[in-house]
Formats: sequence, structure tokens, C-alpha cells
Amino acid sequence: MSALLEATGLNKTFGNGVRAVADVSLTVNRGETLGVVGESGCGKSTTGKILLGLLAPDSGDVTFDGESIPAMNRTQLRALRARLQVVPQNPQTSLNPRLTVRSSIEFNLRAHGVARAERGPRVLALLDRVGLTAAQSERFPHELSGGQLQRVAIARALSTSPDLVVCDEAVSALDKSVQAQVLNLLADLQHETGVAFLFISHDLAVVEHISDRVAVMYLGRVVEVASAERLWDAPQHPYTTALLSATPGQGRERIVLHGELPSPADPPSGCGFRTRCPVAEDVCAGEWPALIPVAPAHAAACVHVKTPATTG
Amino acid sequence: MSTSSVAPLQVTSLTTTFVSRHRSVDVVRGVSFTLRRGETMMLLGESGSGKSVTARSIMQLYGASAKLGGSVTMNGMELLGMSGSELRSLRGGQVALIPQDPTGALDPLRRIGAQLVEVLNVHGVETTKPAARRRAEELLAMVGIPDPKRVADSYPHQLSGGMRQRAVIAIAVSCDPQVLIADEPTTALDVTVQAQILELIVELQQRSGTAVLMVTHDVGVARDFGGRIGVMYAGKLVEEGPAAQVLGDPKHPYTAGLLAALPTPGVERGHLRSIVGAPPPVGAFPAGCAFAPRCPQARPSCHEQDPPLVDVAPDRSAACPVVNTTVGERAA
Repeated sequence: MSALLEATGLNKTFGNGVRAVADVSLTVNRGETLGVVGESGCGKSTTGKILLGLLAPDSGDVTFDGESIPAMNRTQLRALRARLQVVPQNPQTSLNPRLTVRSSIEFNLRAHGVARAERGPRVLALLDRVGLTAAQSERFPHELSGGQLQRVAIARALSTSPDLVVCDEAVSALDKSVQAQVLNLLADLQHETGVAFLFISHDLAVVEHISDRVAVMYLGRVVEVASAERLWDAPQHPYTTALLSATPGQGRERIVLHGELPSPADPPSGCGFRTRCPVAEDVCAGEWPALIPVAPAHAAACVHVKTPATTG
Repeated sequence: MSTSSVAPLQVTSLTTTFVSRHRSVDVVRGVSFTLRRGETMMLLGESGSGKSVTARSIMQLYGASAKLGGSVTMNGMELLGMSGSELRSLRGGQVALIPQDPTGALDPLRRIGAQLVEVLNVHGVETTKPAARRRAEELLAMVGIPDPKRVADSYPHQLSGGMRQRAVIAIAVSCDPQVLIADEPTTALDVTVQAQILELIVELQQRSGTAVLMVTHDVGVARDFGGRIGVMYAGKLVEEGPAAQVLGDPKHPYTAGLLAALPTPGVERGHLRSIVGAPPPVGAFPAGCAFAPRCPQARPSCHEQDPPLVDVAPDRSAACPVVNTTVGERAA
């Protein structure tokens, strides 16, 4: 697998002093799903916006297929967006309420230079693929349910045959019985088209289900990256362990963390997790530990994890 | 089991109909259950299932906008039809609510301490301000707030979401209610904070023997909390029984479908077994069994007759003729 999108050393501090993203590096390979999981304020959505080119990082670089996104001009960004699409959390607000869903998707096709005659049939084929009928294509967003709207958003995102779709809490607003349908649809579409997903969510069970690899974020940083199976079976960072144990209904021994997420505007010194960490030591107040390999394709940022000698 | 009339909370054939000038919409359509002392009852369901409306109807929070039917008794005393002043002394006293959104539940212009003092004074738990203030700080400490003095002097916006929910819980338990209604108390919170709040509710319940009615859409929360569970769909209970049994061996096709649709980490991946379609919107519940249009086991008769909730196993009931004939020899 080759890297499709590579982010290196991303930093973003907002005007109010909130350091939303700090030294984040991520790779999304062609055709894979990278999950990004974390609690509110961990910087996962800000990271998504930077990767989409919607927000400029203060420092760091994002390359898509070898080309730097922050360095692109408007024309280049426009061309990029055909290949890099988004499915947002709330389709009620992301679809134009005054356009039928067919028009919404046609709009996207027109913006990316698809000929008029070709648009109509393509929209119907796309809607059919996501399980909506031709009659539903003439409906307005308020006439459709949340699950149907999210299908429209997916059809719109896929209309330009992108290489990567950023799904930002794309199934979080859906009822569980409907969420399963949408997750299945995403998996099928990936299988058919080879599209890669960056799947941002606070729901670990969903992320584990859909992702090949998962990055766990805390206070603007990636604290652990591993394959979904490995993260679930052998988490190394104490925050990941606590997050897994806090996910209800898993039957794991619960580690109840004390306190709450510190303000990203005023993070603790050293490792940002140390104020809530059950195994924190004095040394943790020094510096935020670097992400180091703990096993092949598995890295964690904690002073307690060791790089095995064999992997160097 | 015989349901004694002195149960802290007994709900019988509760119906809630929202009425406006142009139409009326049935949201809760005949819900019955009994909550015993120290017991927990979960109402589990998806959006529009009527779970929150059931909980709020018990406290009669909808006023004139909803018409309630059936019966709700606390220790044998009928609540439906009570006067406004009777209800006011009841709410916050014998029965208290922990709402989903703590921010909306607190007065943004008054300090946390003052809001607690008011409840204690109104319900006559503490008759003087200084005593109430001391009690308020004790309560804040009891719900795990590290510096109760400072929090008592804070305005809601100065606290984090988790701290605000703790403050709301302190208010809810301040008058030692016999019934605590928690309406999705952790839905607005992050999972690590959710774990803390759920633990706190269990702890308070064990300490005081309060009966807890909890509303949730989260199967995981229901599983962890234990107690009894009532699964709601389209304004009705479709299945009821001990949580471990209902979630371990669901009898109703909707419960089974809902559980199968959840991603189960650590288990082989692949397709989730989703339920076709979506939950029906309020006001457009299908005739017959409301789940029939989505049900893989539906028979022609299911689209016409709405099955009642009947016993299908000891201590368990379900509203489905298919399970009744396949597993429920005991069915009445």
C-alpha cells in the first residue's frame, strides 16, 4: 500500500489560545480506512479540516498524492476537491434546504466540470447505489430521514470518484439500526471503488469496526496508532486503555479516570494526560513523550512504553 | 410476580398525546411497568420511540400541551390529575429528574449554591439559609465535586459539562427522592466522563435505596447498568425483563435486530446485520405491529393486529406473536 495522504508535524493554535492540533502526523494509504478517535476537544475535527484544505495549519505539511495542500492555489484546490471529498456529521445543515437532493448532487458534478447531459443519469445511478429511488431524488432535504440524508451526502461525496473521503462523525447522529446500514454501505463502496476513508468519530466501537488502522487523539496530539485489531486487543497508551474500558457494555474492567479533559487553551505541562493518568510519574511533567514504535505498525506516546529491541 | 400497590412507581397503560390546534399525535401508546424500591428500570429505544416522553409524562412536565391517559401511582397515590401545587411539592421532592442537558436545566444567572439552597428550602429539607448552604456544600461533595465551596459560588458557565451534570445530580438527590428519573443523563458527555457519572448514579442509588428510571438509547449503558429493561418502539414497550436476559437472549425481533446491528469490537468484522428501513417518525406509526414493516419474521396478520405485551418466560414479556408461539409456551 502506498501513502495517499501524508500529514507531517501539523500545528494549529486558534486566536483564543486553544492549541487544537499539536505536532500531528498521520498517513492514509490508498484504499484503506484510517480511524481517528478521541473525545470532544481532542482536535480530531480540526485535523480533518486541515487535511481537507479547509483550514491552514500554522506549521507542518499535508501532501495528497505527493503534492502539498497548504501550498496549493485556488485553482489547484478546486481540482483537488474532486479527489478529496467529505461526508459531514449533520446532513440537515450540509445539504442546501432549497435544492432537491438531485440538484445538490448535480451542483457538485457541475462544479467539477461534468457535462450537462451526463449529470442526470449519473445522479440517478449514484442514488440508486446508495439505496435511494428516482422518486426520492426529487425530494427536498426536510422530506427525508436522517439516514436517507446521510446516503445523499455519501452519494454526493462519491459523485466525483474521489480517492479519499473524510467522514467527520458521519454516522454519529443516526439511530443504531440505521447506523449499521450506513456503515455497511461505506464498506461496500470502498470494496467496489477502492476509495480511502479518514473516519473521524468519538465512538470507539464504530471506529474499530470500520477502520483498518486507528489513531487515538488526546488534547490535540496523536497518542497511539495501531491496526484496529491490535488497538483493541493490546492498547499500549494508558489513555487508550481507559477509553476502551469506558466504552459501555464491553465487559472490560472499568478504569474510571478522575477529572476531565483539561482545557486545550491551558494544557498541563509535559504529557497532557498526566493529570488524569493512573500511572503518571514525576517524569511525565517534563515533556510530552514522542510517538515511538512499540511493535510493527504500532506506536504510542508514553514514557511507560518501550521500543522492543528487535525492531530497533 | 404480584405488583403491589405500594411500589414507589407504578405506570399502567400510560398514553401521551400531544395536541395542537390542527392535530393530535399519539407518542406514548399504552406503557405499563412497575419500579420497586431500590430497583433500576431502563427504557431503551431509538429516537421517536417515546422513551423520554414516557419519563417526562410521569412527572407531567408537558402541561396543557399533552393529554395523558392511564395511571401513574407513587406508593399507591395517583399522580395523573393532581393540581399544580401538589405536583410542585412532588417534583424535586419525592420524584426528581436528571435531564440530558445539564446546561439547560440550570439557571444561567444564579450561582450553583443558590439553586441548591432554593430546592432545599422549598421542600422544607432545610428551613434556614445557612443550614441549607451547608447542606448544599455537603451534597456537592457527595456527588464528587472536589472543591464544593468554589463550585457553590460558581455560575453554571464556569463549570465543565461533567461538573454541571454533577451539580444537577446534587440538586436531584437533595431531597432524597424515592424515584429518580434520569433522561439520557450522559448522552451529552464524553465517554470517560460518562463512566464517572454512571458510577455516581449507581453509588447514590446503593446508598439511599432510590428507585431509578433511566432512559437511554445506548445498549452498552443499559448492559452495564443492569436492573430491568424495557425496550420501546413506536410508543410501546415491545419487550421487558431483567437486562442481562433481555440483552443476552432477546425475544422480540426488534430487540434482536437492534443488538445485531451494533458493531462488536474484537469480534470478526464484516457486514453488520442491519434492520431494513428506519424507525417510524412520531405521528406516522404503522397500523398493526409498528415494527412489522421492518420485521424479517412478520406474518400477514402482524400488519393488522397489534400484539399485546404478554409473558414469554418467567419474569419476561414480549409483544410479538411469533416469539409467543416459538418460545413462549407459557404465554397467556
